[in-house]
Amino acid sequence: MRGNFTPVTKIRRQVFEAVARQAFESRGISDIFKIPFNILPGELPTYRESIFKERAIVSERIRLAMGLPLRKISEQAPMTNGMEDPELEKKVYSMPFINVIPFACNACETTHFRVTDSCQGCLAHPCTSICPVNAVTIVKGRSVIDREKCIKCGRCSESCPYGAIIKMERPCAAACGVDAIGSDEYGRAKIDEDKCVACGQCMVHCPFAAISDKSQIYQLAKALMGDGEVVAEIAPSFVGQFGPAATPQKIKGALRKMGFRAVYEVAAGADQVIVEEAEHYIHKVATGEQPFLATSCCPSWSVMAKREFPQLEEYLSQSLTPMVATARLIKKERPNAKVCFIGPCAAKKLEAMRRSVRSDVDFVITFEELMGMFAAKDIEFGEVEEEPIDDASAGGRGFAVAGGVASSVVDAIHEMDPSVEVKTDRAEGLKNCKKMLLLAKAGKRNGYLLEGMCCYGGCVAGAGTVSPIPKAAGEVKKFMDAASVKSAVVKIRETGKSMPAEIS
Amino acid sequence: MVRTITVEVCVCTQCVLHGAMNIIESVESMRRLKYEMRHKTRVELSTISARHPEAPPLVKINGEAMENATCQQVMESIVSYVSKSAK
Repeated sequence: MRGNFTPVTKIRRQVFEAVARQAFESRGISDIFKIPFNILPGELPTYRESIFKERAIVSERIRLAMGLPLRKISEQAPMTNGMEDPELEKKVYSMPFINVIPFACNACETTHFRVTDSCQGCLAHPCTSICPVNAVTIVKGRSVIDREKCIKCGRCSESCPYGAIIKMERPCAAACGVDAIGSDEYGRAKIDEDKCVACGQCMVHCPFAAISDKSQIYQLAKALMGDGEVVAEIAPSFVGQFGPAATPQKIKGALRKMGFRAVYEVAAGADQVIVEEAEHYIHKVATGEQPFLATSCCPSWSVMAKREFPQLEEYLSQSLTPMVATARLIKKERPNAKVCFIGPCAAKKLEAMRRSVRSDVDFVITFEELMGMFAAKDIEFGEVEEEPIDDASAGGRGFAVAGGVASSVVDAIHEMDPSVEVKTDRAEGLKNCKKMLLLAKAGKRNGYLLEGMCCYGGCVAGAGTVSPIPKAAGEVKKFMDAASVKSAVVKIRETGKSMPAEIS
Repeated sequence: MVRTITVEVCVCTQCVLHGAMNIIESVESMRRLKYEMRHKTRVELSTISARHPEAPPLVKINGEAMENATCQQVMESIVSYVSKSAK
């Protein structure tokens, strides 16, 4: 489902645009009630069994898009509950951050194997003989799996000559790399906040549009309309996200037109991270002082590593993430500015909630949310003036794709000390990241630089992206080639920007 | 003689928001359909950017406008044109 434009994508984006319009046009509270009717007009349902249910779900999505909590089904409250609060414009993210809208959830069964109608009741029926717990039997000429006995090894499925036995999984749970999806008493998905790393993959894999994160679209739009200075820092994966007409230079122009006073490439912060991690590797790993160095720019990977492998935490890079490094540079130059990180990632919202980061990054929105804001502001890229953009090296821009971080750090190490040999390993997807860390824990990655990326493909595949992944990766490559300086080491030397203090 | 089918996908802000990028991806993916696209036909894909207040995404196939276009409608329409041009 991921990567396709489905009704789920459509509803999500319609809500983003509507909430942004509500804020930009300073519409009254009564207009909020109209949004579900504008998105789902008429008397008949479009997607589900009842139009009332469809509109109720959209109402909850509107609340989340405004940064408000879900309402309790069992308690009476209007959808505008909390929206009259004048403090809403200043509201920061609050937990729970990723939410299951309970009555939108299909309560999909947990992982099991199922015999489909394709079963021919064949003479050989290898499904029975291969089962190690004798859970498969032939009843009335068809295979039947005893769910009580089944250990979900999948052997029956692999052996069936007709492919008649399938593995059924909850899409949200299958997408979750940290097993954070459980069930409530009604069998509906429930997120364990202690395990969740806010990667947002459950959100984009739920085919029933039942999961959504909170957003700051409303608060950001209000800030942009105010007198204060709001500055954008845009993640390296931004290129190609807003369509072929939106060149990087036009995107910068469009952000300025929307009201941002200035726009910085987060790749500039990535340049600093590259240099610091390269130095760290040379002084600590190459000398044997520490066994390996794991990069830390992906917040979901980094949080997972700290939670599940606390004994390895000291080997995780202590550098600031590019988002925070860039924000600190901005605040150094513009102390009164509010900084908005624009990126592909839901987890960055969680990172921005951290005590040590809260004062650096004021807003976090995704590319998809920004696209809704462009639409609400009626900004057309064809009509926008291009603005020059050249804040970062090719290396920093390469952080957007899987393998890009490790490759840039290796290049920097070789530039700084050509005698150092670097071994690298990398993993995409949290389950694979865990396997890599298990090897590291067992001492099988000594001397390595390890790159972990939560999303398959890297940041261009984040939960908040707009563009299909291969196309976005191609655009990143072009933007890297267009960088006036290829090396992060040279770029940092040229700009003379020093790394702010390490994260506390 | 090779016949050309022109597919123009609007990439204005509203169209991109409503899935124009995925339509482009779908049309490009049709090159992998060896059987359906085997005839002497070439699909020429381009983008346009037109302000149009309603019904995004907008796609024009051989100049014929398709409003509220979806990936499946566009692909079906192209296959249909290819079949016709082969007859």
